[in-house]
Amino acid sequence: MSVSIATLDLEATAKHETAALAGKYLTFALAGEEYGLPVLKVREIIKILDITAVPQAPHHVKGVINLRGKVIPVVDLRLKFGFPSQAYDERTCIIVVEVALQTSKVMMGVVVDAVSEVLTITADEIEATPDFGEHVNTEFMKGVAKIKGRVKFLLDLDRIFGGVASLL
Amino acid sequence: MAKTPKARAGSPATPVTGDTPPRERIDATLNRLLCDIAIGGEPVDGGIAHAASAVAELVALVRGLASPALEPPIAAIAAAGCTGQFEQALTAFSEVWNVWTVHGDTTPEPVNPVNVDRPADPPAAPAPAADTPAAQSRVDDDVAALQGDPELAAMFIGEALDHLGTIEASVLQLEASPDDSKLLNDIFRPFHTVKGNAGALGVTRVQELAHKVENLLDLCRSGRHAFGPAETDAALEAVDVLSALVTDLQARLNGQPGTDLEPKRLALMDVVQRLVDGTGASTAPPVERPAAPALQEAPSAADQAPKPNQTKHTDDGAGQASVKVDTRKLDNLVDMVGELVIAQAILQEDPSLLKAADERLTRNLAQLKRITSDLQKNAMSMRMVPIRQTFQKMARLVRDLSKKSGKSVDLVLSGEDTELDRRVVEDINDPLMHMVRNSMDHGLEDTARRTQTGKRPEGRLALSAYHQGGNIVIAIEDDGAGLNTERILAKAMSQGLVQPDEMLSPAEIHQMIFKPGFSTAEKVTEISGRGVGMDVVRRNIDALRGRIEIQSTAGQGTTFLIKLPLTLAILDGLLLGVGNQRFVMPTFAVRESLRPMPEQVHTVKGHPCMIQVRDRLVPLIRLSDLYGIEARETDICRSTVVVIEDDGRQVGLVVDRLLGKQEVVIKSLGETFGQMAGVAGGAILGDGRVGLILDAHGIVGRTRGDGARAA
Repeated sequence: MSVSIATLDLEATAKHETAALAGKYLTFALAGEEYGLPVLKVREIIKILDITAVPQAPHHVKGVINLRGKVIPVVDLRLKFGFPSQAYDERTCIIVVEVALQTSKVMMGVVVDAVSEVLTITADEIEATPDFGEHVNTEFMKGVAKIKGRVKFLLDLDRIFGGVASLL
Repeated sequence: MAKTPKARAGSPATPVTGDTPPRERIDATLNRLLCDIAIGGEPVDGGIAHAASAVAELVALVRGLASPALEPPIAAIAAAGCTGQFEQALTAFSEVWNVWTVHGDTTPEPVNPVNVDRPADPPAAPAPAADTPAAQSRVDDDVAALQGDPELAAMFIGEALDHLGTIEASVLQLEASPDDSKLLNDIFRPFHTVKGNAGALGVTRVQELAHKVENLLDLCRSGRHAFGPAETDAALEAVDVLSALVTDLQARLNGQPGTDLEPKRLALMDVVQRLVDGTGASTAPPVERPAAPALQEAPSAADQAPKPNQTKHTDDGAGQASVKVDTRKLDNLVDMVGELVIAQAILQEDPSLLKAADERLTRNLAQLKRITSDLQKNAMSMRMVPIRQTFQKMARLVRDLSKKSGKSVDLVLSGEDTELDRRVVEDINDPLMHMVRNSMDHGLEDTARRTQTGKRPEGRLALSAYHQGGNIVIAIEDDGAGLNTERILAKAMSQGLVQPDEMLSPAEIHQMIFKPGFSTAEKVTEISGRGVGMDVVRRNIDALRGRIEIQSTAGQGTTFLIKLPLTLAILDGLLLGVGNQRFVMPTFAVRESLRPMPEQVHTVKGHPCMIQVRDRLVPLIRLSDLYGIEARETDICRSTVVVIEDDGRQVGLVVDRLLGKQEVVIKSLGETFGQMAGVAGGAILGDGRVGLILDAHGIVGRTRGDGARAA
């Protein structure tokens, strides 16, 4: 009895959570898949430019760039997610996002294959992240949106880059 | 309602500016409130807004009268005012009114100037509440009083601290030249202003203490009380306690835990009260002080315009208007100007413009360049402040220490107007304090010893600040015993900091005192000698990208030279190219750069590892190896070696080529990169790309670490 109540509760919270996820998303392509970022997190989108490498930084941290007088770090999302790297071309973009670290908010550039569009995703289209089994880490995902038969993964940037105080 | 004589004579620093007595102003505000409510009829928007502001004013006015009996109704007014229930506010107000009319003449008026005519009348204890047990609630009240308007609170706190700084300086000056009666005014006036402001905002604890001290000062001013050592101590203590109270309030407003300052405050209030009481018993004979000028000055005038008279002693801007600006706004401006300079440079170098070769175009571009670089200089200079305040704090410290240790010291200050980056001024305070302490304790001998060695009995301590070759130098010079090289060396050996067979120059030995845990003081005194300090000093100075040099002659004294960059925002750097990357090495760390000759290079197993620079052997590091970059030049004799120095140790950095010298604006890489050994930050180079700034300390430290491991 108590078990079924607990399950109900879980379902209810899951429903509640997916409802909270509804909103506008910037979608982009990465290694053949589509991903979405909440538009409110996105500061701007810039074409790929020369990135100054930082010694001893982890593999996925490409370095730093000058964003109108501010030096911000740039992360290659392909490498961060463990996908094979790909030469940057004219479609490659840096999405500048604001990420909440433990104590503060920082600006950060995220390299993606190509930016697609801004979509309004409704609660009906969102589902909780499916369980892929223990080998797949789904912590980075807030949920999955199904739009016109295609699946878009909704990312939680604070989870991806926050939590740890530094990239190193 | 008849005005009390006190109220008429007074020039109250009442909540809202103006010098109408509080009673009348309350009347006026009350009328306004009634009108507003009447106009509003049923509270409509316009009426409510006006009425609410009138209630707020009433609360402030009534708070200014600050009597414990008034507290509950005031709270009721405030609460009712906030919720828009003005009827209730009025009821509460009538209660206040009753209390006020009943106690009117006996209620102490904190807003009342102290001096007027109170010869026999022992200054009424201004606040019976001072000894109520509910200290905590009073702290909360003060916090609550400031909470409503953060901007006003910030202004109050900033101003109070400024005034306290002025007071401290004046007290010290007065101690040095006790006959200068104008100084007494310079102490009195800011106290009065602090008291007035605190009263207006309802920060009663600050107000009470300031009021007490003001009473005392007023007696001194009118020549009825001598301003002697006890009064000096009390005034200085008051500055400390008030600063502590204000900073404590600030901390509490920011949600940080506060400290309990009540015992200190109450104790000091007692001390001051006893000094005031002592006046009648004439324990201290009043000095012959020309009292007239003090009395001629209407306190109200002083209140309104304290600046013009003050400037003679404090030179704080000589009447120049100034604006307080958020440092973040300044930093943003500096960022944007930096970008402008880069944009201008890119434009200047644009090939199609260069091709045009038009005289007018060239002229206009040159003009643009001039303006941008002027703009940059101006933007940078906005962050600069004179070091005066820091030096004044040292004056206070020296005074206190000399009292404690019984060593008499002449402190000589010079170059107080030298300007430094705001952050440098803030961060230099602690290290400087340590060093002054050290000079007082270890450097200067006691009087007996000094006379023995034929020196003047008074020690001499000189603090100076000046520019030297693009740096700011702060010198701390004493004519004490000097550093004892043998003892330092012996101590360093016993602590295992030096190997017995190591050959060290005197300068290197002197640097030992900056090692953690190092102390040669035979006994630990209250002032210093616990072996913490100089290493912290060193770390703090390092963090400011500065250096400390020591010049010491046994028996004649020691001079510490702190060399600091002019600003933290700009760095003078050498641009180094390695592979297709560029790095910036701060010029202050660079000793020289050279193209090595084959015979200079010593190799181990074919790898170049040392280079002979004149009579020194310097270890080599390839920047390309260090950072895993592919260098263009593999032959060391075609590369460039940049010799850098840190902590007296030199390292030769092998790079492909020198790209030139450049002033760069330093940018933090942000917390995302944490602390990286060997990288001090990022700089935006002439083409808008980012170059990494190298940290000589980190790089030299690495070699030493590696060497130790290999050994």
